[in-house]
Amino acid sequence: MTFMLAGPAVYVLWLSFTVSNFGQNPQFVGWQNYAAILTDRYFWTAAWNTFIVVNAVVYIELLLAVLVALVVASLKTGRMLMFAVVLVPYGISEVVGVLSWRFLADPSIGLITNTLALIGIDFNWTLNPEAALVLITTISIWHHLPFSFVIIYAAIISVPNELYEAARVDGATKWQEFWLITAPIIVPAALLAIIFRYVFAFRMFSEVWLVTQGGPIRLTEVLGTYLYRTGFRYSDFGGAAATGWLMVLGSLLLAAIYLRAIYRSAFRDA
Amino acid sequence: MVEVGISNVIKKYGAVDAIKGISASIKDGEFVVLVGPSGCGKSTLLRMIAGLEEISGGTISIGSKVVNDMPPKQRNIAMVFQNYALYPHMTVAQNMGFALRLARANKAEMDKRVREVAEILGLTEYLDRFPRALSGGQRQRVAMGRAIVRDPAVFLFDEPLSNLDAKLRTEMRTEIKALHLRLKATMIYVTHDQIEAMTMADRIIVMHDGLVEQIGTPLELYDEPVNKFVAGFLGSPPMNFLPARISGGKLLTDAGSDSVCIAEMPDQEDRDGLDVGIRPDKFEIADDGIPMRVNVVEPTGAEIQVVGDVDGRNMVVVFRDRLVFNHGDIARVRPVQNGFYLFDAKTGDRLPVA
Repeated sequence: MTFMLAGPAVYVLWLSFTVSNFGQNPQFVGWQNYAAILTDRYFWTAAWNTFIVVNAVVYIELLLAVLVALVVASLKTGRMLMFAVVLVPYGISEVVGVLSWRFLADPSIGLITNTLALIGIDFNWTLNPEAALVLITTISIWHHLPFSFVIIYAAIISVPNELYEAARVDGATKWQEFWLITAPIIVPAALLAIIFRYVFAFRMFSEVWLVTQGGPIRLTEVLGTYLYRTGFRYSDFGGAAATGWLMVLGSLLLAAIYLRAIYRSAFRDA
Repeated sequence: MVEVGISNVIKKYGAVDAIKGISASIKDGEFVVLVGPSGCGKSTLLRMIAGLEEISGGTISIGSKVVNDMPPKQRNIAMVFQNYALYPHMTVAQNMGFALRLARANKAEMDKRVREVAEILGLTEYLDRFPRALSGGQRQRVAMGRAIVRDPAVFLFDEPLSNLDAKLRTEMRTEIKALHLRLKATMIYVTHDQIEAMTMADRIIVMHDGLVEQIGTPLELYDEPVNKFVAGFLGSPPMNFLPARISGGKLLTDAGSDSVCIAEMPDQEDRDGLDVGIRPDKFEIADDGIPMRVNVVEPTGAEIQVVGDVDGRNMVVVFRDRLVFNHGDIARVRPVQNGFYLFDAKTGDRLPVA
């Protein structure tokens, strides 16, 4: 088990210090791959895009998950039906989902593009990198919302009803009930959802590859596609491996920050 | 002056009537216990007074105001919940001060008030703890503290002691009673435990099936129950019931093939369909008494509880004398003079004995 997990990781670590491609045995080159990546401006574009998209995805998705979970939890009837409806995107294959969105947002005949054009917004993501990143962010949120939703929903319905009754007797408004009772109690669950989504979103690939392939002129590339392009288009396995390790370090750093926050919120005590 | 008036109150859940028309008036400063078996509607009634359940019919008033459509926070009440309902993410001090914080009370005043109440309840050293670091009894105190801090006109307690162990329950019973004497506030207390009701209440409201069976002081209800339900519900061990009839001036019950005379009733006309009720401590040994087969003997030191049956009907008899019984003995017992009640077996209503 340990070998299964660690074996490939160690191999990739070794690969990241070598130069190799198809038909060439790996040659040890030390930090050269890392130096090349860190001076590559496309890497920094990809890193910056990843940073923007990941943060947008994680926080907008969390906000939506809380809103949807509150609505579903407050339903008197049809709760299970709504629950199932909200989960649907998670059951759709990533490729099918992304291609459907691509069709909906087709620059000339897409439903979304045409609707936006009616209210005067030109949403041509094939030419405009910002628009493309907005589309990619939207798809990623749409596809993973059920994940964050389930975590937040479970936390919300686990709050005992008596707490709300006590708060009502104590004089709380609905708004105060949410901010002073619900919100603090679901914080650990929200942090957990954030960690998972950061790690998932950090390695985002198919949304970008299937929509723009990182174009135009590599302006919408994220780290996942940068790695893929380095490895399988340019056959630079060493560079791809080094990118992979940089992504792992990035994920670990993020996870560490949030795990610490969870630990503090869950175990602080007098 | 804060009376609580309950007038023809009805609660329907869909087609089910949980409360079928209840009236009662609770005086200022009174400690009233709502007691009854589970499902009798006592908690529902309390929650309607609190404003946590809508009122389907009738009116509830607190002080001079009808509160039917008033949200809980305007009713000037505080409630102690069965599971305490402490806010898990707040310290003891924050829990207790929550209502004041919502009312935007001055910070210094709030701290002072919380400290005062913590002092009364012996919680001072726990003020910075979170509820999860407290024992059940301490949580219970915090829940009460949260109510006291607000200085409400009416305290509502919803089975507050049912999650505590027996010893703590007895202690808290005394403490709540002492608190009532100290605060002189109106308190309404729901329990299914008749001992809590008997020991704590100024007046008891016995409920059953969404209706009030009887209202009165604990001893009134114990001595003069209006029906078989109240008679059987209050008192521990409970009252014994045997089918009986009056014939030829004698009150008779059947035991096996024999008819046993329980008491002489020379002035009564013959009638069937009676239940005779006898409290466990109102028996004496008599050679011509009711033959009770002894099943279990439980000495408690001060008294002996004899659990047995007459023709398969369970009986419990308590003797203060150290009589010796063995499993399988037939003990002949009869009620002491005026030590029994008569009920109509069909309606359960109590009938005059003399």
